[in-house]
Amino acid sequence: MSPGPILFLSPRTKILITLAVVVVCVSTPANRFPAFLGYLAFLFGFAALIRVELRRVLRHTLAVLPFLLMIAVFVPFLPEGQPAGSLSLGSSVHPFPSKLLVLWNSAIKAWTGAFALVILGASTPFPELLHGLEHLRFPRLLLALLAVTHRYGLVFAEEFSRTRRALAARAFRPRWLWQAGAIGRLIGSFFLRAYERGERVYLAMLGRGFTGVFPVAPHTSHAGDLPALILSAIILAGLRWGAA
Amino acid sequence: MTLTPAVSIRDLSYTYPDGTFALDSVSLELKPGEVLGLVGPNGAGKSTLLLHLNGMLRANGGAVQVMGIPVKPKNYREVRRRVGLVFQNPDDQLFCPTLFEDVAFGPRNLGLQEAEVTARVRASLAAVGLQGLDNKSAHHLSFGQKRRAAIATVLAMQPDVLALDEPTSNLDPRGKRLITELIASFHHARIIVTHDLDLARTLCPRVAVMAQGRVIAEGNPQELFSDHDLLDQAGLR
Repeated sequence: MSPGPILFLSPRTKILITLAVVVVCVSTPANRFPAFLGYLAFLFGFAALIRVELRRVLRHTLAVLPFLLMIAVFVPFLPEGQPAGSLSLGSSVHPFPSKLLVLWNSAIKAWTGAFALVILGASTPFPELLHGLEHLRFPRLLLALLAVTHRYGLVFAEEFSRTRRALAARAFRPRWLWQAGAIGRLIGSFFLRAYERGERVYLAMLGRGFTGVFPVAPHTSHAGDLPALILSAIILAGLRWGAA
Repeated sequence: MTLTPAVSIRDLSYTYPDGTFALDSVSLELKPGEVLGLVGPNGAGKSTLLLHLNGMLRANGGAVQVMGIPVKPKNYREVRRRVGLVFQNPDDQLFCPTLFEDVAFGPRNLGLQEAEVTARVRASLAAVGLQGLDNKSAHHLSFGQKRRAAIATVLAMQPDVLALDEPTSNLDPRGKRLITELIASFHHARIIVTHDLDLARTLCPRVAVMAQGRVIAEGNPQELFSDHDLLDQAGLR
C-alpha cells in the first residue's frame, strides 16, 4: 500500500481550522444530529490528511470523560422543559427526551472540541503552535510566557521527580495529614528555586541584548494553506447552515 | 604601539545588596585572543566578577573596560554584544522552544536581517558541532549538547570576549574533552572560571587565583599549581 499524500499546512492554518470547528460545533443546535456527524467526519478526514496517529489521538480525547461524568450526575435533577445549554430547539418533536438532550449536547460538543484540539496538538509541535499563534497576532508577551512555561515546566518536572526519588530513598511515603508539612516545605523550596532560576534566565536574556521586546521570527506559508482554509470554511458552513 | 586590552579591570569592588562582601579591588587585564583561567574556591567571587564584564552587576568601585569601551549603562548594549557570557547551568541559557530560536535570540535582538540571523545560527551551531539540530528542544538534548548549545547562543553575537563559568562541570570525561577542545579552537579572548585544575593547565597560559574576593596570585599554571601553600590557601587542594 503506497502512502497517501501528506498535507503540509502552516501552524496558523491548522489553528484557524481547529478554532472554526470548535466554534461552529458549539453553536450548532443539539438536535441537528447529521451536522455533528458531519463535523466528526470532517475531523477524521482532516486527521487522515495531515497524518496523525488516530489511535493515540482518540485515547487522548478521553480526557473529557470526567467532565461529562460530572454533568451526567446532575442530569436527573434538571427541571423538565426546555433543555438548558442548547440553542433554538424549535417546536419539532425530537427523538430524545430533553434531559438526555442536555447530556448529548455537552457530550458531543465537548468531545468534538477535544478531538479537534488533540489533532492540532498531535500534528503540530509546541514551538510551531506558538509560532502559529504569533502569526495570528496573539499577544507576544503571553506567547513568551507560554513558551517559557513550557520550557521550564519540563525542567521542573524533572527536578520534581528527582526530589521525589530522594524522598522515597529516605522512606518518606506521604499518606497522612500530618505529613503535609513536608510537602509544603517541598513546594516552598520549589518556588524559591523557580524564582532564582527566573533571575538567572533574565540575566541570560539581557546578556544577549534583550531590551524587553521579544524578537519575531519570520513566518512561512505552504501552498496548501489557502485551499485548505477555503475548503474547510465551505464544508463547515455547509454542515452548519445547509439544509439538513 | 600598545594593543587595546580585550578586558581591563581596575580596582573593582563589589558588595551585594545584603551587605555580603564579594570583590575587593580586583585588577586584571586580558589581551585580545588571550586565555585567562580564574580559579579559586566556591564563594571566591569568580562568577561575580564575570557578571561585571557586561554590566549585569554594577560595581561599587573601580572600572571595567571591554575593548576600550567602559562598562557603563549607556554602553551596555555594545558591551553585551562584545562579551559572550556562558552560564554554568545551560538550562538557564536555553530558554526558547527550539535550539534555532535560542541561538537566533541574540542576533534578532541586534536587529539583524533574517538571512543574516539564519547564517549566524547555522555557523554557530556548526562551530559547536550541533549542526542539523535546529528544531530540537533543549529538553531533548544531552547535558554535553546543552553546554555546547549555550556556547553557540553567545557565538552568534560574534563577541570579542568569551566568559565561561565552569564549562566542564557535570560532564563525563569525553564531554569534558570535547568542550576543552572546542574552547581551545576559538580565537576570542577567553576568561574561564573553573575548579578544574586540569582544564586550567591545558587551556590557560596564565591563571589568576582568587580567594575571598581578591586575586591572591597570578601567573603560569605549572608554577602556581606546584605551590602547595597557595593551593591550600585557595582551597584548591
